[in-house]
Amino acid sequence: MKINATTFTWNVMFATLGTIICLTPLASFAQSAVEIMEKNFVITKVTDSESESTFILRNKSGIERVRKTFGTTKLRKNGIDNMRMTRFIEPNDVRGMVSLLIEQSETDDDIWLYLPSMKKIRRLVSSNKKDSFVGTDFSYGDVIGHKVQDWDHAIMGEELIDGFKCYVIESTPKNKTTAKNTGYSKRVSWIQKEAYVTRKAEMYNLSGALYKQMSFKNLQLVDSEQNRWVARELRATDVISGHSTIIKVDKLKVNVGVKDTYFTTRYMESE
Amino acid sequence: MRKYIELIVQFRWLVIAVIFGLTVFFVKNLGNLTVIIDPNTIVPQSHPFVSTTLKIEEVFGSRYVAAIGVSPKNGDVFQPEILAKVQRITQRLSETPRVVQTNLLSVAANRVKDIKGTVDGMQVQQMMEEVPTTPEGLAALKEALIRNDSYMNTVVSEDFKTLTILAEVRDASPTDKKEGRVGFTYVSDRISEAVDPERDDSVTIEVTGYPPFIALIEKFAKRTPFLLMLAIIIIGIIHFEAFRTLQGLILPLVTPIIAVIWALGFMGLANVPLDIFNTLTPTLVLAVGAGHAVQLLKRYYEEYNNAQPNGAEYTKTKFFDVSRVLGKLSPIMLGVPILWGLYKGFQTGEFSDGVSATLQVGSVSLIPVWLFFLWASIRLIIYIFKPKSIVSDDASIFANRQAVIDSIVKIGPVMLTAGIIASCGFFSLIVFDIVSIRVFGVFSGVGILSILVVEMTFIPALRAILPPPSQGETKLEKEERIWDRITGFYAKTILGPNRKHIFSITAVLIVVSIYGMSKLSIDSSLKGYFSPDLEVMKNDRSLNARMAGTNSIYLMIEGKDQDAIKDPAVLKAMDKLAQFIETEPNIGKVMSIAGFIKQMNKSMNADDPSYYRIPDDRNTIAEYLLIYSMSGSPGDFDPYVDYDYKLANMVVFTHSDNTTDMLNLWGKIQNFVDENFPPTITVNVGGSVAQSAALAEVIVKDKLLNIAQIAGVVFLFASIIFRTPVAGLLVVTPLLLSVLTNMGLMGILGLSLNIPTALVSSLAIGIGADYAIYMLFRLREELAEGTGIDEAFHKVLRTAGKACLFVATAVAGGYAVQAFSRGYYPHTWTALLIGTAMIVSVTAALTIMPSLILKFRPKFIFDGVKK
Repeated sequence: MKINATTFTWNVMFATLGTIICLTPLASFAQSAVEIMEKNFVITKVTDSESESTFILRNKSGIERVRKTFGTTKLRKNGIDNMRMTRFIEPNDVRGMVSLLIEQSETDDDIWLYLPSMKKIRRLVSSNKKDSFVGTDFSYGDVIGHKVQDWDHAIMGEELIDGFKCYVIESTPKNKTTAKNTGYSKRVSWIQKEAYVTRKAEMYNLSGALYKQMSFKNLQLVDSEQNRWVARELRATDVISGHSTIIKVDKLKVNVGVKDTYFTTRYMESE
Repeated sequence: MRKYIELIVQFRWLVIAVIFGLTVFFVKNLGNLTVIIDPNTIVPQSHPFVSTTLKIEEVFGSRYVAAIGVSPKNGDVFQPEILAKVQRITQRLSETPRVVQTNLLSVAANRVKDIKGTVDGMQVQQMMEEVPTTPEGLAALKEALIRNDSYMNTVVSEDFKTLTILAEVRDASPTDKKEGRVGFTYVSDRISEAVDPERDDSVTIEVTGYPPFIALIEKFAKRTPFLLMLAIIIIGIIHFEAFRTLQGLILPLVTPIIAVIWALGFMGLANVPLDIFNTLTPTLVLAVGAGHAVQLLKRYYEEYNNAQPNGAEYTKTKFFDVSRVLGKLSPIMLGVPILWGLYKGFQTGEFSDGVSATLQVGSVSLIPVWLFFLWASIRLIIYIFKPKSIVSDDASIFANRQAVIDSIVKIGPVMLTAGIIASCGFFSLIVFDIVSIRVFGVFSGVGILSILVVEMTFIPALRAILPPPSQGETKLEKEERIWDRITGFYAKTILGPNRKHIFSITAVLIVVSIYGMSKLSIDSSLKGYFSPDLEVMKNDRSLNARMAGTNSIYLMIEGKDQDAIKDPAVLKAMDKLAQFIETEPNIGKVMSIAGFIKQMNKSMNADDPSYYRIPDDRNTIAEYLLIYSMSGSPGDFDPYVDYDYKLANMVVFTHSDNTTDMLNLWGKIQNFVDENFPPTITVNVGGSVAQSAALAEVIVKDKLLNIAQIAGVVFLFASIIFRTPVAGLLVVTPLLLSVLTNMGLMGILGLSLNIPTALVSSLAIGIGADYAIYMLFRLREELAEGTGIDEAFHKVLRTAGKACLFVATAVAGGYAVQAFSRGYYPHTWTALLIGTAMIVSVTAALTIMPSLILKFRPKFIFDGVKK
């Protein structure tokens, strides 16, 4: 899965074979949990995007912080990692701040930041994938997507979510490192049949307690050629702290040929 | 009155059955009774310190801090095994109910981050995500701790010999209450479960802080029932010594026991738990109830003797011999087991050991008493089935009933007067701001009313059924002994030329008391309740000395608008304030958001120490906070700043939980705030020490008010009843004297006015008026009957006065035992102060008050004198 840094656009991809599978119900019946998760993983990877989003962060007492951002993403050559540029528009005291995240699925990600008040660029070394993504209840790992091969997957059954038939897939980390890096001992995903988009997810912490609940609404097919999807509204709740996040993608353009210059320090420094 | 009591005597069986049924009903409700110290109910809700504390708890989750210190026996803390222990304890605590997970402070806690400068920016990492095993890793951890000043002395001691885990415990939520996760014993036990598996030879683990201390109070409060029983037994034995009759032993105890059961059952019914305040209710009810019962019994003997057909001659009987011998032996039979128990208890340091030793020896030494009881019970059963040959004749039965009726007719109104006055005094506590004091007032009032009900119904009914006293008994009761010598001496003194000495002694006493009061300090240090050699106290001293302090004070910085805290002027003022506070005595550390921003500023400028300050630009601060959120967790700063940056919480660690120290500090902080903070910012103080300070403040102000209030109620009622304010003054005199000497004594002994001691003084007031009222009524009655003045005073002292003396001695003796409740000073204080209050008020009522009457000859007493 990928997020448009600014907007955090979860592009959901549709397997190119989607239509074929539809025509051969037997094949779909036989597919394994791993196959479903693999299709699910790539379905959000759009080539590039430009978006405007609103982040609503809410603590357990219901007090909100609202942020508005403009952002661009561009898929790197490996087809998995993204470059994400996020420019903060609101609130006023961080207006003009820019972050540039170069995803590195194999190692820790680098984040470059432009601080308008000091007119300086600084690098933030993010410790790992389980950290909060810009103060939201999504972790970097949630945003980038959890690597399918690091987890064991099992189909637990089928359920209706928002009126769509979904597979319920339980994923458990194959080894301790994965558990530790993601902070999860178990993930349960509700993946829409045939479309392979995630509609709902639940994460359990390392003590085995329910930790986060996520839902993805307003799913939009943004690239019918490649079958890529974007959720226009994403919600996550940390059930332990009571903190929650809503991300709304207000404007979205996909495959517009986002230029590489967005992902340079010169762009960051431009007002 | 006479008609009423005749009815009671007539329907005696019904009355007994009803009272018995009610008592059984209340006994059933005793099962609902729990001992819970909910600090919320003992704090004045509208006090600013308290409202701040509650707000801080609501916003930041901080309330009661438990501190766990882990120190290796050899070397410093940078050993993988030690760090792993701390990590496991932290992990377990994060899953412990009522521990605020997000506020855990420990080297292994998720929110404890290393903020570090890099060549081109900043790195934020969990301080110890995994236990380092290599020497390099251990050295890096040490470096990281040194780098992040906020954690020095809080999560690790400066000598690196101790790691501390601070766990904040919140109040029980409604769900917690439903599922039984209430009280501090519960929390304390859960904390032990998290900690204990890590104890072994390689480390010393010390647990301290508010939760274990309040759990200790809960534990000690559970001693109360045993101490109460002990008090009851001792009071009974002293009464037995005084009356020398079995009835003298039992009857004065029946009333208070029933009344205590009613009051406690009522509490169980109302679902009010026993707490630090209302554990005193039984004490009070016992003392007051015994007082009334003894007066009634004394009067009954008097009336019975008067009603005796031709005053039959006393002949020696076996019964009399037994009771006389037992009376003489009782101090030994009782004293030996108690002394043995105390010895054992002190030897092992365990209260329960003392209790079991007392019971073991007591069960043997009291065998004669049990046999006596058995024999007396058999005799009673035989009597009730009336084989007349054994027991008294019709005449004595008639005399018995007559005496019951006469004594109630004479004493009933006095008792009702005294009881209603006292219960009104207690009910008037309902105006208090402290829930627990209100509850105490209401239940003490209910208890005293229960006494009146029992005394006016059950006791006369029972008395009418019991056999009349044998001749031996009545004779023995009249025998002159130490009590008579004391009252006789008093009577001689007040009527003779030495009366002026009474006034001069009183004057000296008042002067000394006032001197003592001038030295009285108002201080409510929770830890001052406990003996320094208790385990928790030792732990506390040891951790307190090595770390920033095991007590915390919270300063709540409040701005008018959202983001007010991001203002550099505010942050700089907070930083300056923190530095100012850290130079004050006893202060170990101040943690606040300002410290983290300074650390970030330094990191963002390549760890240049000159940047260890608050940036000048507001936007820079906002940017730092956003940057931090990109790598920390959303909740990392929750304990220090609220969600919209309108409120900040500065956590001050202090070595002192003394409220006077805290108030001094707060005074200085207020001055500092006035001079250094922008005017839009308000600063308030909260936390457990501040709560105690609020309580202490209320005690000073309101306790005196409360004493004045009860005294006022007593004065008013006495004035109305005797139709002159002079009577009011006379009644209030012994009461005020006992309060005055109590406080004077506390001042001289260096005790401070705190919750338990202040409460005992209100007990003194509740009891103090009764003696005076009994004395006044009796004196007026005697004079009205035409007894000569000298003879009247002699007689009053010999009858009502002697009864007062019995009770006061018995109650003082009963509570003296509490002095030996090891480890918990409030019990010792209660013993000392109740004893003093009883002795002073009875002596005043028996000497000063009559002397004043003789000196000033008030009309309301002497008007009835028949010329």
